[in-house]
Amino acid sequence: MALRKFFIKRLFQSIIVFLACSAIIFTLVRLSGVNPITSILGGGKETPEAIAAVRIKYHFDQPLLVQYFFWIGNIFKGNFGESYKFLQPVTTLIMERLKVTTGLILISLMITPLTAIAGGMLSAVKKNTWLDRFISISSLVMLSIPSFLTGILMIFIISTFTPGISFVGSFQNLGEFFLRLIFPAIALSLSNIAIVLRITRNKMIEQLNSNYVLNATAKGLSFRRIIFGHAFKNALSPILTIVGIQIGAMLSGTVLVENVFALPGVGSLLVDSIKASDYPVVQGLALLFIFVFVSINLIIDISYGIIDPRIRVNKS
Amino acid sequence: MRRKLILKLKNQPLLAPSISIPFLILAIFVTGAIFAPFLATHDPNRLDLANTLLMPSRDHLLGTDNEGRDIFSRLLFGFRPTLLGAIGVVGLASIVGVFLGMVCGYFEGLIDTIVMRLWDINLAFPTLLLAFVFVACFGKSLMNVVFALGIIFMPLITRLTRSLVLTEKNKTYVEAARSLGYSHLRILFVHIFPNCIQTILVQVAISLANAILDLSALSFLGLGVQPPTADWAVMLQEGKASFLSSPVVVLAPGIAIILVIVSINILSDGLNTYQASGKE
Amino acid sequence: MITMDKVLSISNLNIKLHTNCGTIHAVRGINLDIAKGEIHGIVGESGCGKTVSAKAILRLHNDLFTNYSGEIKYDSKSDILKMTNKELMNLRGKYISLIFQDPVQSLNPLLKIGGQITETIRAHSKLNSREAYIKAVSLMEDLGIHPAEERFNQFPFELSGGMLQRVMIAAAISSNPRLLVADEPTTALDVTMQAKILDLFKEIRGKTGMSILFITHNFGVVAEICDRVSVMYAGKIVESGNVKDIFRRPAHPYTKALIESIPKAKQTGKRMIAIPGSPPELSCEIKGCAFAPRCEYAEEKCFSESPREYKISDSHINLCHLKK
Repeated sequence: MALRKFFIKRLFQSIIVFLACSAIIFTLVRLSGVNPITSILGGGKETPEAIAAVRIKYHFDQPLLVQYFFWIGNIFKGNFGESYKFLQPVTTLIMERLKVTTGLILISLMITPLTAIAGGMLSAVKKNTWLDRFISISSLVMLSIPSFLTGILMIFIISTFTPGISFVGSFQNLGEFFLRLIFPAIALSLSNIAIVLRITRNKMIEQLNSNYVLNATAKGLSFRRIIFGHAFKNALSPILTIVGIQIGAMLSGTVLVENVFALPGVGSLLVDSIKASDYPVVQGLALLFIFVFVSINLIIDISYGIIDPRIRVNKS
Repeated sequence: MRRKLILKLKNQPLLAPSISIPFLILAIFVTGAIFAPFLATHDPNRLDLANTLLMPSRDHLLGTDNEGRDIFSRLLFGFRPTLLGAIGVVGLASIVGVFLGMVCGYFEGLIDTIVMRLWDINLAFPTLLLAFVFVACFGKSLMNVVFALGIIFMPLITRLTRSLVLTEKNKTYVEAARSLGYSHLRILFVHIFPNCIQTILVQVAISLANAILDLSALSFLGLGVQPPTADWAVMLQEGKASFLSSPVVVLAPGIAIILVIVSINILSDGLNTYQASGKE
Repeated sequence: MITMDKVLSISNLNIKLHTNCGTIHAVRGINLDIAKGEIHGIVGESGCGKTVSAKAILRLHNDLFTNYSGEIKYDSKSDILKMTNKELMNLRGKYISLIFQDPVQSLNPLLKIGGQITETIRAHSKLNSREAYIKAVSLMEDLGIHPAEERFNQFPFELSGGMLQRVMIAAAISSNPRLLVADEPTTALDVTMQAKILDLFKEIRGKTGMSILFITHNFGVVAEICDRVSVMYAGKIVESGNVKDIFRRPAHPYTKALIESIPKAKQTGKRMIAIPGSPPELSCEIKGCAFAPRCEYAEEKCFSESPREYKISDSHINLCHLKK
């Protein structure tokens, strides 16, 4: 019961945060000072009739608040407006390119937490050994290389040693799709892995030094039971927090990786639209990114409630 | 007491290699950036289409790029926009963040709730997204990007400062100061602030590394520093295509970025342990 | 009641702990025998090495940062300091159990309390989860955790400190250990709860014949439940003997001072007596008797020579130059 109440409260908070974000994006676009009518019509075609038609079509004659509600209402109906540049519905544009980006993120989500948590726990358990030092140093270096640089270096190394692999071209089947995306996904994941790994190590060391672990040792429990049954469970909440934050970094990271590997995903659409001041697309993509980010963090928040009985009962 | 002092001087942790080496590397890069006009061997922006993609030689220490510009000179100048931008980002974020964090932590109540909710909304933007929207609205320029990143970095510093103030304000020295009738402002800035500054500085160092990474990312996408201005990320974007024929074009700025970020990260790690051992 | 069977015998135990701030010579050659069925108290101020010794009995210090010398023999046979990890795992919780000072921090906040009892039972027996559940519930009933079946599924934050200490005791005695080491088990509790927990220890000893090593800084508690007591100061046992003998005829000046400083109900109006000065730092070597700087009877010899053990009677040992 308590868990359900907690869930509803978090869901409600997430919706408010999402609406607030959408309002900020909407306001920023309107504050920009660029005349959207000119952008829609393009240079030279600004006859008074055309302007009037556009004003009515896009509700520019209404007050800003009303315009916002028109916009957000349409979005809930799945209508993100029409791209100024491509003259196509934003939804269609995004859907066309969603496959690549979703693939990238899913593969990264499969690699990142597993590698990072395994590495961090290994490092914590083997604290102060050469293995721990090796993991610590390599994670510090991984953390310091921007994903676009990792991508460039990967292309260089792979094309030097195995010239057969091509990074351009289309993909027909799932296997090819996976093969095309695996390297960009690794480039996207490395620094996130490093961050999550370092947190895992710190939190595990903290838990392994705690009184209840000492007590568990005194009770004669096996090392494995102490690590997985006790320490890891308690370290999990802070690790999940960081994973949640890093998913945000991962979402914006797709933009860079798609640029480096010339992948036709929503990230490259975003960059093109920013450069072309194609506001409906930028707005739509920004909302999509925020929606995904807020949803994932909602799931993580709820999993705290499942892990930690104290949250379930005492609200937060 | 005296024996402890001597011991402390003997193993002075600030001279430990984990602090001194990264500090030295950073010092070299920063000096290079400051004195770039004197150290550069060529004009970083002069095109020389007859001598593109040259290998390193005595004339061109690191060779030339695809438009014949001297890579060594561009490398020296190329740290300037990012460094200045990152300092701007972190400066903006720390001034606002520390102030808000102190006020929220000390007074709590309504201001605290409002600011924290606002930052929750800010944190709902995946890292670079707010910067993307900013650039889309106000144009591609380093200034806009710095401003956007400054706002993105504020919540972290606010939260940290706030939590530090929350723990500090319940300590006896604050109660003592309050019972002596000092004003809130005096207690906050003269008594509490000095006890928080060390931890905040470590966070500032980490933020600096992240600011450089994020600025480079935006410049790489062509949304921050604009070509032909010499900048490491711009150099990477321009050199990407000719990487296979002339690796120096990418390796030079790439290694430079990695060295700088690794150094800052090791330095902040080192400062962190130094600070932890000081508290022991 | 006291037989000559020794459950545990510690001889010449020295423990050096390596920390960030240098090496601490925390325990400096202690000898201690615990007979079957007795409750043995260790009293001393905080930092005198009593907790370090207690943890050493189960070798809970990190082996990498700890130097042991001497012997800790379990059941007059195997030396705990020489055991392999596997032997240690089998010893801990099965033959020797430890109860820590703060039950709130010693129980995992995310696990049900019942599970924290059954995991000990299952680690040391072949019972299946159903049988372990039944055993845990009956143990909880015996120890006054009512209603046991409901409490079984609760989390530590839902129980009071006193109840949590009962849970700790339940887990500790679940495998019928020969020796129960209790490290200040009542310090974190309020006074009424303290008395109840002390009664519980007496009851356990009466029922099972378990030996108990009871560590405390409170001489009043010692008087209440212990058969024998050892007084620790600066890493050494300065006096040990039967509780009655020590209370009637304390031989060591430190013991005298400790007993005098117990607040007594009848002495209203008098000032509380405190021992002047503070114990020495254990990071440096100590010349002479460690208590000499605070001792009102100290002579020149006390500052230069380490005192030797002196037998007042067969069971009463004193570590002092002044043999009276």
